[in-house]
Amino acid sequence: MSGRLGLDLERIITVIDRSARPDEIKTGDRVAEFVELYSRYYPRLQFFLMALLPTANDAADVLQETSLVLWEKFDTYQSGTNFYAWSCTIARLQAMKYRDRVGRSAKLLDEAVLEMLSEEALGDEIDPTASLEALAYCLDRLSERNRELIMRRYQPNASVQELAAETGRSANALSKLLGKIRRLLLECVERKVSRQNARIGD
Amino acid sequence: MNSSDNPIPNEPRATEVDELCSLVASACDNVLTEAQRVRLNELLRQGIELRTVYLRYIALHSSLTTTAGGQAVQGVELFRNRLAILAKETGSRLPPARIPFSSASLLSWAALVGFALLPAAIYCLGFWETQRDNPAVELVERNHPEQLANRAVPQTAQVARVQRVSANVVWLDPNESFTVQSSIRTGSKLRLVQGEIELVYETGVKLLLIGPADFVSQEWGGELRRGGLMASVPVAGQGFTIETPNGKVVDLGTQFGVVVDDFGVSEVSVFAGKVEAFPTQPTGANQRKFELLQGRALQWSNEMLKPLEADPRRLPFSLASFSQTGSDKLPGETLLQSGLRRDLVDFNQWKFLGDIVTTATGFVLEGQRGQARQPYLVSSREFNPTNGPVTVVCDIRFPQLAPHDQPSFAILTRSADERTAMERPWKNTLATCVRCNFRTAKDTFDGLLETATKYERDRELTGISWRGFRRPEAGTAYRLVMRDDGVNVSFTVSQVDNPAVSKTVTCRSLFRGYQNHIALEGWDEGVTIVDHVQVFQAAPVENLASDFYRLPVAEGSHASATSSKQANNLIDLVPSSAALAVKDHFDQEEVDPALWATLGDVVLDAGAISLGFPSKSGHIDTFHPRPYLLTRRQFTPADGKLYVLGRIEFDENFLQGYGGSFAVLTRCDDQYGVGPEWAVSALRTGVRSNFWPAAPHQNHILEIHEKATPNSLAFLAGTGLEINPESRSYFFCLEDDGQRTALTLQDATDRSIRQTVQNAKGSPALLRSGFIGFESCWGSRVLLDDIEIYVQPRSDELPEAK
Repeated sequence: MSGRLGLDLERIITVIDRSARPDEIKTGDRVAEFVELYSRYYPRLQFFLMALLPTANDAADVLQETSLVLWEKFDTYQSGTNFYAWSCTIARLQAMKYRDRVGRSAKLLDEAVLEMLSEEALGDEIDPTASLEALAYCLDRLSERNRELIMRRYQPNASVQELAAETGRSANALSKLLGKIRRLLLECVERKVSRQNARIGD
Repeated sequence: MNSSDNPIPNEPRATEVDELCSLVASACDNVLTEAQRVRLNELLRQGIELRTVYLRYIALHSSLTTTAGGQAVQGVELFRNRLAILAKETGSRLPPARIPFSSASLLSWAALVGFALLPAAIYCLGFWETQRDNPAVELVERNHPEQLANRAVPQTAQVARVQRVSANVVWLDPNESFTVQSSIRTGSKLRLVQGEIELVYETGVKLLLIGPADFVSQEWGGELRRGGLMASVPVAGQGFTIETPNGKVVDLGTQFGVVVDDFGVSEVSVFAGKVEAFPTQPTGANQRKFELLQGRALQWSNEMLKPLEADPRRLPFSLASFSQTGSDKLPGETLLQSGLRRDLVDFNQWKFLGDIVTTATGFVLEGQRGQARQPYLVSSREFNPTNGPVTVVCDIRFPQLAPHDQPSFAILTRSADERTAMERPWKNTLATCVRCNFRTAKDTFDGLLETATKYERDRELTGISWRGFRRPEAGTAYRLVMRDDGVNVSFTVSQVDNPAVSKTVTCRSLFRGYQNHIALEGWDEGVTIVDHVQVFQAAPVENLASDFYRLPVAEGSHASATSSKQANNLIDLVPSSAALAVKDHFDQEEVDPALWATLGDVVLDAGAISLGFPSKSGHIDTFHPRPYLLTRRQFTPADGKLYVLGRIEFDENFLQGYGGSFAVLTRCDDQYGVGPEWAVSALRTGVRSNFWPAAPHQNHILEIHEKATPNSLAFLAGTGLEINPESRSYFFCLEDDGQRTALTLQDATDRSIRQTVQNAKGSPALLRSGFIGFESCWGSRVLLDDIEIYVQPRSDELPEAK
């Protein structure tokens, strides 16, 4: 999905460029504010949508749409308030619309579960941006083979099915292996983060 | 603590966690069956604990997605460029590119991971051995000086002249050497194998470069890629900057030393005046600034940050004896000698870990095949190499080797005297150490010389290895010599019968050992025989760079607001019968763990507590966890009225944006909460008396809240205070009798600016006892100093029956 960010921004730029009427153009400060907020919260917004739509392509599509809506509705955002909460409200609505019009993969989670997750994903306890450094550290410590596999899995437009065929495995077997690598990473990241926190707390 | 507010959640069973993770993996990879989908939803409905596991897993999935592709960088850049044009047209300014998702941060992340760089780095370095065959040793591939040295540097104007070149100087490339009085220009490369060279800048700055070193001069200072230097900066040279591979040091009129080692660690020591250190944050977090005064040092890498005492012994500028081989020319006094005959071994001087026996010819270190457990001979006493260079000499041989054996033997200094003892691949090595190892490379017939550091018990060795020596052979006697002066390490392996077959490697490690034992590490798969063990420690090196320059330091040039010790007049509010319970001026090297706990970004900084890190930006985030200093001890104000005094200094950005704040909390919890709005970043519970100079509502500049439960927040009182925007230093006094709380603030420079806020009716008193906490908010640092806490016993208290 990381490859989609470029597309999101290009589409937003198109919207900006098309804002022909001077009275519709957002002021430069407002644009700057949007860039900063959008860039800062992009990883968390992506996490929020992935929590609702764990299949990567679904979340990527909704994130694209959400980005545009965020830009269009930015006039309703009050500076200084919680941008993440504001953008998640819009993202959640976009995710629900997407569920209604797209097939099975988008309906992976029941609506009640979705509601609970969208509440809980808003909290600050889980912030993917806070552990990027630890993730880099842990990726570095994977075996070369595991690291190459997980990197290929997360390349833009990578498909587990195609990767499975390339590596001579079934998609299920590959997914199991990827799952094990993610568990290794998850444990390593959490250990590293808690150690960092403990060090700061020393 | 209010445990009733925090019911212990039901811990999910490990089997459920495993099952959930397996299902989420299938969902992420789009291979989930319908039956699995139903089960996934069942598990997620079970409770918040499993949903939290799910969210943690998704956070990792999302982070992997974010970081895998480089197109995000291009997208952000494209967007910024287009917006820059728009902003120019509308006459506004774009925000600085310091946002966590900026291209710079992603690129540095990519460098950190090193997927793309690693093969190239190994190819370029040539002599480096990849250590993939040794999982216990991590290869250092980032920011190595050789990588940096390959950057093209254009040469332009003269910035300095060479004042002095030591007699023992050896240049890495004689074609790139400099003589006395020669010009040093922007971009000149000074690469020393040994010796020193002194430069005098146009601004009068004197710089002593201490080899081995790799330095590129610049008009503003220079880039120290490896090695050590000492700088003495007059007033005209203030702002003189030294960049290291992972940060920079900016002078504020001073005398300071910088050392960069071979394992990604930088250290700055201040011998006079003041410097600012800016360690690089690897994942795009705001760059932190640390002000260091005389006597302070800071050591940092991508993974740690350690405030220390400045120690000039770590900058010896005469390294002529570096890399000496053999024992006959070693300086100093022999302190410990063992070997040869059983009756000469002093068992008080050594302790054995593993199977070690003494024989007529020396020690026999027996590793048991298949047990992966190395035997160690550990000195009973400690030898701190900073007190004087330590040299360890021993002869070793492996009596029996099968064709596929991979023997190894290591000498350790700055070492712990116990094993790591954790279930890790490196569980077998000693807990912390600097380690020089001679071993066989896997899959080749080469021998390897390795130097490595083990910084902590729970992490692996970080090391470098070199080829260029034959692999160990059965029966051949090798002489190993390791010399360690606390920073510089040399390691020589030679054949006893043919000393011409010899190789020496050197490295710098800034690791300051927690213990300083010496240890000999045997092969874990077979027998090593060790003879002629000798340990020397020389007298301390007297030629210290800090003594080289003696500049008068302008009086008061390094006085900070927090170091000017004015009296806190608010002590008048404390009755004489109150007893002092806690007092701390924070002049120690570390936060006293017996008195204080911390949450979030809290460090000791130049004799004060830094609540948060400096930020020039006006972005002050109230949702980000706030920094807290907390008492270890709990207090019950209803049983004895509390008086909490201290002094604070806001950072320069304290009136920008949302504005900085400082709060004293009593009866508080010591964990972050989940309350409404900003309270997610604050403590779960407590009475919070807050000073918020930039408050938009005038009557909220001083305010008192009670957060009786994690999900509630009661406003108890608020008032205004006409502040002087130029003034950032205040005294405070907080009073709490269990019902009424009062906070008094007084401007430290204009004492007529003083105000008190108090809750007239008393709080609901839901909270009776708890810790005392000091809080600022993320993005605007507060320096806190001179804390005194008094307790006034209740007048109606009965005397203690004896």
